[in-house]
Amino acid sequence: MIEEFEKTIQDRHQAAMQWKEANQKKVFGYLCCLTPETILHAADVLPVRIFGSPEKLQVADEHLVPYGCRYAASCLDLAARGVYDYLDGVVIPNSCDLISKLEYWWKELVPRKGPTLAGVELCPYVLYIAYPEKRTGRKVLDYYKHELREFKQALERGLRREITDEDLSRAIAVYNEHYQLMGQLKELRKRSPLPISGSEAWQIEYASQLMPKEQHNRLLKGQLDQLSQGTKAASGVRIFLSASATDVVNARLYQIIEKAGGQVVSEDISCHTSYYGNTIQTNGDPLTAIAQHSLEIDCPRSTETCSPATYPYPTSRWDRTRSRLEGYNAQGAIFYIINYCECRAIEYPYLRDKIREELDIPVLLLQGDYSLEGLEQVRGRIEAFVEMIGG
Amino acid sequence: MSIQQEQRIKTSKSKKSIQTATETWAFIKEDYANGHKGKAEGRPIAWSCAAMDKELYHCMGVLPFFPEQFAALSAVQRRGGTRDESVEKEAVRFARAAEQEDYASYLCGYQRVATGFVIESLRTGDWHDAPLGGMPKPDMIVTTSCVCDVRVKWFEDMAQRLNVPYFCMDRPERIFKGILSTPKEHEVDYYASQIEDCLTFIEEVTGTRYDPARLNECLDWAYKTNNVRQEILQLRKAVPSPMGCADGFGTMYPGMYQSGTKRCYDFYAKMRDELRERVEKGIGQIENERFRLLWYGLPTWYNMGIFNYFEKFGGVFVYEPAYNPDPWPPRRPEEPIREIAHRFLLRGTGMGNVVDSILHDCQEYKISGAVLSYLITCRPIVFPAVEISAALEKELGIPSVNLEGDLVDERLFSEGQVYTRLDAFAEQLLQRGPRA
Ligand code: SF4
Ligand code: SF4
Repeated sequence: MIEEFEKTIQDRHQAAMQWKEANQKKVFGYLCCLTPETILHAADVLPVRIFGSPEKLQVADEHLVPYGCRYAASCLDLAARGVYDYLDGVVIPNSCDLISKLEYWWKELVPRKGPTLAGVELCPYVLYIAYPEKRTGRKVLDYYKHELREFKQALERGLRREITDEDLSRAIAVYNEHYQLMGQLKELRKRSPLPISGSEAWQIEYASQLMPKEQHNRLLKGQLDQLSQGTKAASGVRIFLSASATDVVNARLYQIIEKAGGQVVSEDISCHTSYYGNTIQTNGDPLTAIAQHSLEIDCPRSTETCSPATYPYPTSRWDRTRSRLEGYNAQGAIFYIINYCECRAIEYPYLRDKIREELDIPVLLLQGDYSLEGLEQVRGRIEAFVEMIGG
Repeated sequence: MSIQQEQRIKTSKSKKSIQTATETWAFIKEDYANGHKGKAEGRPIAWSCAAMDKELYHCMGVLPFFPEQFAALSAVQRRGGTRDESVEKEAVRFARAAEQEDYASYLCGYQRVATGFVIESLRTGDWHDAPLGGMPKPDMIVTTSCVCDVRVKWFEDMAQRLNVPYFCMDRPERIFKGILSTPKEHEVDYYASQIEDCLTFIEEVTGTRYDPARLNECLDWAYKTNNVRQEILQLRKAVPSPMGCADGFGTMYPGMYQSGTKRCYDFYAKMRDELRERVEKGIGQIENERFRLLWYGLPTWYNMGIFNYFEKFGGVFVYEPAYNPDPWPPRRPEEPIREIAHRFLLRGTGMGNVVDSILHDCQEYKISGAVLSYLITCRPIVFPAVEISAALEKELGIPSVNLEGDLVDERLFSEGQVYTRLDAFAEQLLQRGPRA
């Protein structure tokens, strides 16, 4: 794997701080793929995704009840311990129930006072975006555009600069290149023999959320050239992985699967893959295009507008899951759901039945607690599953 | 988390202070009977949720049923209506059916029970083997995005299982400082559009045309009812407390589920009169009120007797913020849809909003201790618990105690532990004396 990707992954905090120092620019952290990174990029800010770590909680436990997802708790814990002190701002969209609540805790545990006017903060350190629950419908785009405009205005006040349509269009061009390149990587993973292992593909994806997109695009282009020559091959039972928040902790799954004789060929891991392939429209108002693109994200927590006669209930989660399986020749599907990750937990039985009935692919359900020990405990079941398929 | 060892706890009913509370059961039974009759006659049935604007159903001639309420009903009923305690509660039977299908046991009990009912009914083909003959099979499923993600995903999942049209009313999650604030125009626009789309959806399912005059009629009743409920809340601030949380939860059904009807108004008007009389005569829940408690969160429906637990120490539950309405701004009959949107968006749904609101309630109701219903299966209720507890102690010097469990699944309730904790809490309150 490319050294720069590895370096960033190994010490993401150091990498962001170095960038900040070298460029004398701001770094903002964000939770969840629903954040419109392009607006931050347009403002010359480096957006980095906030992730957790395998370390035990030290501070967050005094505030959070144990009956909630430990991944989100870990993100907050690192922040409360000062690990994310290099961030100049934090963006929290209303994604799942816990992430939206982090807006409160972040302010409590990482207090920062920004400039105020008549008692009102010009740009809060923690910026909340009321992302709608529905992705489709008559007025949802108008509403969300409005929310994004307010978000952009808060940034402009905080950074004391205008974010023009040209700035947005420039950022869109960089991100579109990124989506296209990641789309190419996805296409390569359909091949047999597989030109890249699952864990290497995950590294590329993970790094893309931590480093400047221009740099990532450049590195990825070189990597894709090499891969398409087909000199390397990764072998194993082809697996589709659906998992809650797959950062450095949960990514151990890739290694366990590979050790067991499998290879992840496609995934749904709340970690960017959600929207690769879809580019942002470039003909029209850029903010509208960004809002529209953001509404296309296939998040387990979102829902849709239906119509009794033609589309009685939402099917997009299944449609996208199907597309992640078909064409990749997946031989098995593994679902790894962190405890209390409710949206994934509720949709699981339906998706499981659909995969079995319509694609005749075996499915394995694993539950975990966002810990490396928890992942070790499911190792045996993964081995048995891969062996059962591989024969 | 794993479900605790199978345990059949001895749960008890609450003792009612007010007469009107005993009439709720008849109200509920009548609704189920009407629903079954309506279903047989071809009237449209909706399954919907507590946070929905119910007036929409009444103005469109739809009979609404509520899986949350059905789950609460299942928490107190045993199969076939038997009182034989060796027969498990219906909620447990349905929750187990859902868990067998791989729905995680940490999911909200309402979700597991209602989904289990769907699974069982589809499996057996018998939709009536359930409390009060079960919820009639729906023609549509309508939910809202507010409060939790579970209701969105769970209703979507039921619609998929039942192959029934689904609609979700998306309500912007507003976070700000304080408790209430005027919503922004684009938020009202969006939520109003959701109400319009929901009415169009109901029109398409039922063939009934939306009539604003009819909606205004329903809203008139809803507003009159809300005003009476505000009077009730004022009366409940009296010392001694005229009515407790068991009666509060026990009488929430008409207002929560049948708002917008005359019978709902009549119910609360009668209740208001009864309470007024009690307050005038100085009749309290108990004779010698020594400390006043607030119940945060939703109740343990299978064990409502818990609300009388502190009486032996001279303690009474005075107020429960859940299910109680805010005062509404004046009616705007010329634009009823925007009026609904506006009033529903007034309250903030962030953690800070919840904490501020509880602090405010404790002062209004002269509370000296709080029991936090620590619902380990309901994220929106359990998440703020630690912050509420800390803020109560810090800002008002009010102690609190956690009570762990699920709302309807009694297997997650550890009776011994809970009562030991409550005893210690009562001692603590008695030592502190009444709040200044
Ligand atoms: S893993 Fe699930 S519960 Fe945790 S933050 Fe992500 S979506 Fe929310
Ligand atoms: S999770 Fe809580 S708020 Fe949501 S439906 Fe269940 S009980 Fe209600």
